[in-house]
Amino acid sequence: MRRIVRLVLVVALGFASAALVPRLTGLRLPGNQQGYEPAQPIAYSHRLHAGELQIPCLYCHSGALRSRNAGIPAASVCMNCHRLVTAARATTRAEEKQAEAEHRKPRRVVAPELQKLYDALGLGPDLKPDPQRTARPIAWVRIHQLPAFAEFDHRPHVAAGVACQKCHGPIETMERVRQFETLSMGWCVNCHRAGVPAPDQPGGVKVASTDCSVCHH
Amino acid sequence: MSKPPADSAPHPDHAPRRGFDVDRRTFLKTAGFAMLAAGCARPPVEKAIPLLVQPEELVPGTNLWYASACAGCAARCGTLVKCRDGRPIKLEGNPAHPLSRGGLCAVGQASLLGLYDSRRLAAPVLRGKPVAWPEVDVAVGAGLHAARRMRLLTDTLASPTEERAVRRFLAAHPGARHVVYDPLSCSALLDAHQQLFGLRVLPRMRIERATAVVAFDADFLGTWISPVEATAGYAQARDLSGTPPRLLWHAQIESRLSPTGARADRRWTVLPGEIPLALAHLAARLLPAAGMSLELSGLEPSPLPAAALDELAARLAAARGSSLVLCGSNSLAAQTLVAAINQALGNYGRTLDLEQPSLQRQGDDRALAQLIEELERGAVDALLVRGVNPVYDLQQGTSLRAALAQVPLVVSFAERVDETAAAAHAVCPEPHTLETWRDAEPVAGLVTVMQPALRPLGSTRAFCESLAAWSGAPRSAYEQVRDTWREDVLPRVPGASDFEGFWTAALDRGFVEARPTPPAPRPFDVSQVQVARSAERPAPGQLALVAYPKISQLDGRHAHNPWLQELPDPVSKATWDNYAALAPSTAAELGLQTGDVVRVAAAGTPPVELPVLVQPGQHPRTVAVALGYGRAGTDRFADVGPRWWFGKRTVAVGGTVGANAAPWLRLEADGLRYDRVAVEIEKTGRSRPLATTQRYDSLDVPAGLAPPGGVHRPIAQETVLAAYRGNPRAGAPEGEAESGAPADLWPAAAPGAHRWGMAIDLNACTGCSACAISCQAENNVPVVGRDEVQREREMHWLRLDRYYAEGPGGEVDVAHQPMLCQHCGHAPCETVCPVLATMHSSEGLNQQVYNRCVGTRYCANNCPYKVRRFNWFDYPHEDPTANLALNPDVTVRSRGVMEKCSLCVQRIQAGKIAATTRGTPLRDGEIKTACEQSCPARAIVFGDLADPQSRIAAQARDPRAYRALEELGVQPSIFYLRRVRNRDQETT
Repeated sequence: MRRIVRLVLVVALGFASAALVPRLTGLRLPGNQQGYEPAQPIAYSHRLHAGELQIPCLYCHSGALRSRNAGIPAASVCMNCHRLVTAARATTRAEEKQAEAEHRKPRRVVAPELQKLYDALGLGPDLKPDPQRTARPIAWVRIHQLPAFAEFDHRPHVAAGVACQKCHGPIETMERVRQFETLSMGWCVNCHRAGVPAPDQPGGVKVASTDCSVCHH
Repeated sequence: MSKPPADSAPHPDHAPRRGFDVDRRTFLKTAGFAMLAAGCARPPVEKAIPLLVQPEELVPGTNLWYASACAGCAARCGTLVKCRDGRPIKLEGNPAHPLSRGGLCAVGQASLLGLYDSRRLAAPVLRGKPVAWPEVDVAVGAGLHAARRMRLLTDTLASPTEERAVRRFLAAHPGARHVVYDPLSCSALLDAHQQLFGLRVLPRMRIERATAVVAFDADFLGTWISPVEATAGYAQARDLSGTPPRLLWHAQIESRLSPTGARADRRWTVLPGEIPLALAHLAARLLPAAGMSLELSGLEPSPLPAAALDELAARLAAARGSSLVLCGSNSLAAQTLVAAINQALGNYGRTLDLEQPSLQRQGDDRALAQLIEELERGAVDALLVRGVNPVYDLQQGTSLRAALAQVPLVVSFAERVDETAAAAHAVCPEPHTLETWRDAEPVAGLVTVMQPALRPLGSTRAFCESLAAWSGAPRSAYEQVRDTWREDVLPRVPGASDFEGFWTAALDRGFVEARPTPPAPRPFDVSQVQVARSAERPAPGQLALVAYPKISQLDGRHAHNPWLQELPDPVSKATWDNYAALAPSTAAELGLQTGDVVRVAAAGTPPVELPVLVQPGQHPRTVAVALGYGRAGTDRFADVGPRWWFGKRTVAVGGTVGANAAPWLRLEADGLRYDRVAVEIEKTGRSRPLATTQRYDSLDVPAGLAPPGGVHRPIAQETVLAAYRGNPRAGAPEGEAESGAPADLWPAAAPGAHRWGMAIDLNACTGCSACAISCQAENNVPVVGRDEVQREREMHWLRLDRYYAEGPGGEVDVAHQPMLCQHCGHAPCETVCPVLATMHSSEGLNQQVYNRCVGTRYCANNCPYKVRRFNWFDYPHEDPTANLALNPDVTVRSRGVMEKCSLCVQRIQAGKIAATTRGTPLRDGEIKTACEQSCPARAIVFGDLADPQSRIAAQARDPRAYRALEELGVQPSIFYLRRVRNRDQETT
């Protein structure tokens, strides 16, 4: 009897640690990076841009329409807005008020994180290219990685109307991006089997292929 | 095993040991947990670095295509360069290009790997030391300034920009002269047209207009002048499925069995020295009818039987104006006779174009002979060598090296320190064609721009840039090409005025069609025809030697390319070597077998030891040796392929791959000759087995293997024209069951699903092996080395099977059959895989899943076509530069995994994704497999068998269509179209 109890306890401990260890320590079975949330060189907030400001995902990740990789936007894409927006509205407004009180022209306020973007582009204080500075691309830490033997292409998924959140999770609430799903083969195949609503027949479902060679070649 | 009694002492093996007090179970448990813990660690952090400023057309992860041209040989076929994320990963033929029409040969395909050759020079070399360009310019400039008699030695340029740079350079240096020679010379053919028409050009062969071709020692489908163009035209002239159906008649008269001879409908063998005499006899039968007066009496008896001459003459006369006589011999007598025959047949202006002649060979062997004489006399002050390697290429190589030491300044433009560059004071390496701006005019009026696809990997400088720098007017290659196109090309293009628009359109298309520049030919001058009245024959006991170019090596300029070294010769199927090919009767007479080493000796040259290859279809009194081997530095391949205990080196350290046949060439008064009359063969008693990929040459299964005695396996089927006219299904094996509805193992395909298949027209395939290299480049197929090929472990997914049979007149008939995974409907491999690593896709593909495979090799054993390849090793991928050639869409397979043709599933996926994104259905022909794309003969068609309108469905319905080993019931998806030989009756 004691033997059985001990066995049950050991097995239960095993299951409990299998469930808890990944949550608590970040250790995973090989290949599974669910919950990976590394620090990035610039503390870019998806919550602010995609959530609060509601910038469409494809504005920055336009590669999802044209390429297998959604891609990280080039710094030039950031500059479309951040040529003008150099700091949080509250900060610039405070500077404007203070300048008004001091009867001077407001100074440009640059948020420290945005300064990193301007430094990467080699821009001077006037946000013009400064020949004294060297431009250096931003080395983001890649979060979503598939093994080399699995091929994933964004285009057909976007064309089928799969929302970005389906795989990337509620990205618009994430201050720092983390891998939301397991990105395991079983997880991919479940969705390929369940399919997406067919556009041409109401209530119908369009399933995706589960042939091995669709992803493995 | 019985348990030991409880009371007995523990078995010594089980007793605890001092020092290492751990039993097996504990050890395994600990190891298991340790591995689990180690496995839980995170993989290394990977960075994703986007561009700072992204150009609009550059989307990471997508392909960018640049139109360019191939520089693998002087033919300059149009290419499209596929670039991914800044690096070229594949060369494909440009379908719009008028010469190559979308095809690209094996050498062209493989030249991609030459770009990523880590042993190319990355900086100029001055007196053996790498230096910077200004230093070279100072040294060379001083040398050129002091030189009065300067010689610039190049191969055929055929490039408006480079010709212009050379003209300016010569103008800036009085006393300088430009000498052109081609290692594979057509000098006599050029000289013949100079004498007869007043134009030193090659007539452009328009084989597509011909109905009868007779070739004398001209390997026009393999290596002669412009093989891709010729193959495309040949396939067009033999297209039985076209409207109207056509079947060119092709006769080949040659001394060895060339890939072109393997395609011929009739074939006769003669000695190389007998060809001019044979032509004189043919002329005697054809010229009088055309009213051409040529004294053709007093000829020695013909080397060809009278019946053969009659047949040739009758066929040619019947095809007046649409016939073609070609000759690859570099003898002026032979070439003037050929021109006279073509003139008598009215072929000029029809199948031979002098209005838009070919500029692909411009070498002048007499000028070369003069230069050699000057060099040996010490009458040259400076020699600049570009694109040729005279110390290696020529018979006089050794003495030339000594002569070069006497020249005050020798400059080489070679991409590595080759045989000639080793004797040069300065080596000024040129960039690879994919790294620089160039242009080409391979055919008068067809000007091709060759644009770069990436920045130079090393500090190299284009030929025209170096010349401009030394002419005192430095200018970049880009500016020079644009200058030439603005000033020379634009005025020749009708209707073009705005240069920028014209230039952009040319870059987009890759070429422009301009007015040809050569003047009109003068009327044919029959008095200039030289007649050979006798033949050169070896004395009894001696053999005639033929040095010939191979499809993979040509003149040896690609000897550093491992893909080409491992490409089996289309006829002999040998890799990694050249050899002395002997006719079976000669070999039997001398008591030699394939692999026996012989010493080949000719007067005036040191003897060379070569392994023997017994080659059916060769003239019994010849020995044939391939050119292009024995290049210095090829011992770099010593350790190519896997390294393991029993592995043997591909080549000895300090040795070379094969032996150089150039010392047997001879520079005669009228040109460089590739044959020797008197050669002796001596047995050494040693043997060196050749690495061949095919060991059984017949379609007949030997009696010992087939249960009821010998069996004929009609895998490569063929018939003759007479039978085909009566019955389009002629050639099908007798008793073949009309296919009903056989039982099916698998659920029926979903409606609307694709059913991928392929058709290969054996009537068009020439065995040129372009598909094999294209497949290798596309699918990251590794190179395994000589020893592994000998162990039958080559990895090519697509092989060219070659079979011999007896043809008419005792000559040998050759059949070629591309063999790849047949993607069987009832695949024998799938049912034996214990882990479902190979299984059927819903679209009819036989998929191989590498990450499931455990390497039982059951599938390979059960495959009736033997197309599966096993990764016995982790094949080396240690050269980071060479790894840039890998296709990122295809997994690099690891050890212990089976692989095979996937029908380019990555291209199928890309095509389907493009169609989904576009929102319209896939178009037939939109997806092209790598082999189909590169095939110069357009013999391969890939498509959807489920679509009745598709080309593949039409081919599958063709009466010539059959499937290999169909009788096994495996339902292959690859269809073959039966070959039809243009003959009146079956010979067997």
